[in-house]
Amino acid sequence: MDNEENKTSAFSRRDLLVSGATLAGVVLAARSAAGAENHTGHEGHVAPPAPSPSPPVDSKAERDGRYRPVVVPNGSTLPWKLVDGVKVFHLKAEPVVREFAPGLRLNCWGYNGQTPGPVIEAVEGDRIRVYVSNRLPEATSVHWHGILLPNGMDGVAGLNQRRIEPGITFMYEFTLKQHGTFMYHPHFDEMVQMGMGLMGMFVIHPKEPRGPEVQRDFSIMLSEWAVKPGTARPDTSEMTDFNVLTMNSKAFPGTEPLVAKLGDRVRVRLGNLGATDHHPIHLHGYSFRVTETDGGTIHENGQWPETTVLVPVGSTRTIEFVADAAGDWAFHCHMTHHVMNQMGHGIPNMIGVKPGTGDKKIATLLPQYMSMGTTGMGEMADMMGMPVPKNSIPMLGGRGPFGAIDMGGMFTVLKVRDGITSYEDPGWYKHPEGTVAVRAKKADLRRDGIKT
Amino acid sequence: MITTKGFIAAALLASLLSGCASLNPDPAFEDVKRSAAERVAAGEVLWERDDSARALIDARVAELLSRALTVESAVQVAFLRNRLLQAELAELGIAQAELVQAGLLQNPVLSADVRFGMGVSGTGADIGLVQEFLSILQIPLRKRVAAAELEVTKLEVGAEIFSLASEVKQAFFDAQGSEQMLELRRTVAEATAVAADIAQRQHDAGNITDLDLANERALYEEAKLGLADAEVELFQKRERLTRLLGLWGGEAQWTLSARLPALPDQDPKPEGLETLAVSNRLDLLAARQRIGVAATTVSLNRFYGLIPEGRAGVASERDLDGAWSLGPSIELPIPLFDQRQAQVAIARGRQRQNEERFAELAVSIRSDVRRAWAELDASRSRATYYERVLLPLRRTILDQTQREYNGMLVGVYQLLQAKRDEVEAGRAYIESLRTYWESRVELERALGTELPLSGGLPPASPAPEASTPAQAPPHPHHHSE
Repeated sequence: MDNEENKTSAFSRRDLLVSGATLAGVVLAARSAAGAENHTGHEGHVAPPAPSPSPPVDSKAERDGRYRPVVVPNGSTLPWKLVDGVKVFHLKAEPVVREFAPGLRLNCWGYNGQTPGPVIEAVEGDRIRVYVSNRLPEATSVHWHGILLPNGMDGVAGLNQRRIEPGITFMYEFTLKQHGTFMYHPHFDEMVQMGMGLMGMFVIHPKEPRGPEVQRDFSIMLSEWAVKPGTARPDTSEMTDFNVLTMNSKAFPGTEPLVAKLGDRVRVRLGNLGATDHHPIHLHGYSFRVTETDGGTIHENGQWPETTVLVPVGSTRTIEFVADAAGDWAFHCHMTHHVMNQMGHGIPNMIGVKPGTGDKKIATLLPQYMSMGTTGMGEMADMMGMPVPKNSIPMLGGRGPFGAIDMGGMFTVLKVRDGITSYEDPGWYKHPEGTVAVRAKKADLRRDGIKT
Repeated sequence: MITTKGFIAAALLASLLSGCASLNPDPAFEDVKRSAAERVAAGEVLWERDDSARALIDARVAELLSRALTVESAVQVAFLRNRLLQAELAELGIAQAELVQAGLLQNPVLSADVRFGMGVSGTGADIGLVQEFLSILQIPLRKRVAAAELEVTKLEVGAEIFSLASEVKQAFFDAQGSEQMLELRRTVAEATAVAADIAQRQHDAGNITDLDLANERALYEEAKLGLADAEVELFQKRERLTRLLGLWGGEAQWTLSARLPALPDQDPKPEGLETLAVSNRLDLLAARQRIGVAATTVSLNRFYGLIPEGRAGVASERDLDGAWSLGPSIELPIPLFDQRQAQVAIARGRQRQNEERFAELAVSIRSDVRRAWAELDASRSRATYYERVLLPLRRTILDQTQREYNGMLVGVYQLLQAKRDEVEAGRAYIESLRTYWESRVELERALGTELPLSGGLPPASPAPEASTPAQAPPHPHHHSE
């Protein structure tokens, strides 16, 4: 079951400087209950976006006013409580069922009911205590990727600690000595456990705010899976042939859009804990700076301008840009196979094959047969109604304002809008007149001397 | 002195004693026809003794052949056209004639010689008229033997008719099944043709290697060969049926109804089948009848030994000087050396032989029935398994493969292979169905009678009447039912 916890309100920079005394513990609201406190009158305040249905949330979850929390598309952050000045978290490693896209539900492993696990968010200097309860059928451990800590807390089973047997709860405790974007994942039977979905992002905010203020701060974990169409379990022994590519364990059209107001400074933290593939993540419509890795912040003079950031396996990359161009901008991995859902490999190459007499004969043998692939694979986008193996999404795409979007997998949309008052999905972009590519008009063709 | 009255009386007595046996085999044929009708539901046996009914028969055959043949109409055509059947029926006329012959008296013999005097004048003559008279006493026994032989012939002819019907049914199912399977084989060959066509077009577009193209073509060409072989096989099976039906020329272009019948709801249970066979098998009844023939022949030969032939009559002589003399004459062989003791022993030996053969046949028939039932049961299980388990499974495989094809997860060759596998399974099912029907005919052959499709046993048919009571040989291993 999808245990998506609710997002918290955003606060203005001024509030960040105010001590926590002015802030009461805010109760995170369920869908039909009264909404979170809405601080009107402050700039940049927004009503909390409509939460997805979920079981009742821990009402004791606390807030730290020193940072603007990250936005986790299709996910949530891990709640904590303050005990004698220590932030106490509870991670539960357990089997989860997740809908990766409409029509594809998989039996995975995750933390606290979700894969990837909820984002752990804290501040540089915090002392944190993380309880890890193992509800998996085998032993596990948790490694804090990129984080500087005492060797015994590093989490490599056998090397730094005993493994956490099923049913047992371990305690990790250390003080955060850095800020940046990091990750957490098991360090026992990693091929299986990470292949099954056990992983999560770990965001540490600086003690003092640094650099230009960021209005929208997103966290996205990249993963890859091998799921035979018709089955419900990832095959973790697969090394190279992955057919389900995800952002926060969702494949387009299951991915939530990243919404920003025109003029917002946007930060996207990308992590990659897939088995094999590095991902060149490309953003349309912008050039951005790579500002951070899991090794630390990049000095402004060293920040690399890019439209595509390569996120290697076992790394994080953080990018920043100002959302000064309105529209629906594609944001995706640029490997062409990684933006398709459950493609078949090893099928006969039918491109350019001319139709022949065989097609009529085949109709008597196989009434449901349709010749496919002779003109490429784009036609699949329009074949949504054909029966396919159960629980599979072969080459499923989404629907857009101009027809089918024949993309899938590691693909999402950055929606930049002027004049929105909430960060809810604003629907499709309404293009100004004359800014949409349309079929060339005869008058234009004539004037410019184009022969078609 | 033989008076005219006496002579006429003797002649009348002789004709009375010779009995009313006529050369007309119709009553015998009626018995055979009835026993055939009890065992074979479809088809009336017709005995063509002249060409008068030929036009009617031709018309009936033409009518039967104008529609697709069913197993019943095939049997009817065979009964009308099969010449061997007509040859068998002629045996009835022969046996009937033998019966008449057994009742006939010997002809009187007139002997005359003339003597011319050698050195003396005058002509003498000897004239005699004799009639064999002892055989009159033997005629009843002789006729009993001949009548028993006629019964044997009736049973054997009946057995031949049933055998022909069984053979026709078996050949019919053989051909029908082959035809149905050929159609499916054609479908499989079509599927390989389609695959080869797609491969050729793929190759033309530069998408597959020469090796891959050759492999796909090889599959297709081999399927074509297999198809040709199956067509020849079907032709042979059709010819066998045509032969059994006695057809030729234009009539040989008959068609079969397209499909083997479905499995009947149930088969007869094995209990009671052996009893049924032993009381229905005409060849077993004939074997039993032969024992009776042999036993009567023993009696006949013993009688011959006691009362051989004898001739009595009149002899007259004319001397050379012209004087006639007249008087009775008699000839009697004296059973001194040969009392037909050897013939009796031969007849006894034959009787013993027939008894053993009868017993052996009974044992064989029982075993035959058990084996045939076991095969029927097994063939039903097999056909049912195909229908209930394997065919649905193949359909599922085809459906799931189609789904994967729709998702571009497998290619068209795999889809065509799944279709071929489904059709092949269908072909194997038809084959198992054909085996079932052939096993059923085989069981009917073992039982000596057709089985009703409802699953029970046929109504008990009485053993045909024998004109001489058959002597049931008291063998310890042949127990009464």
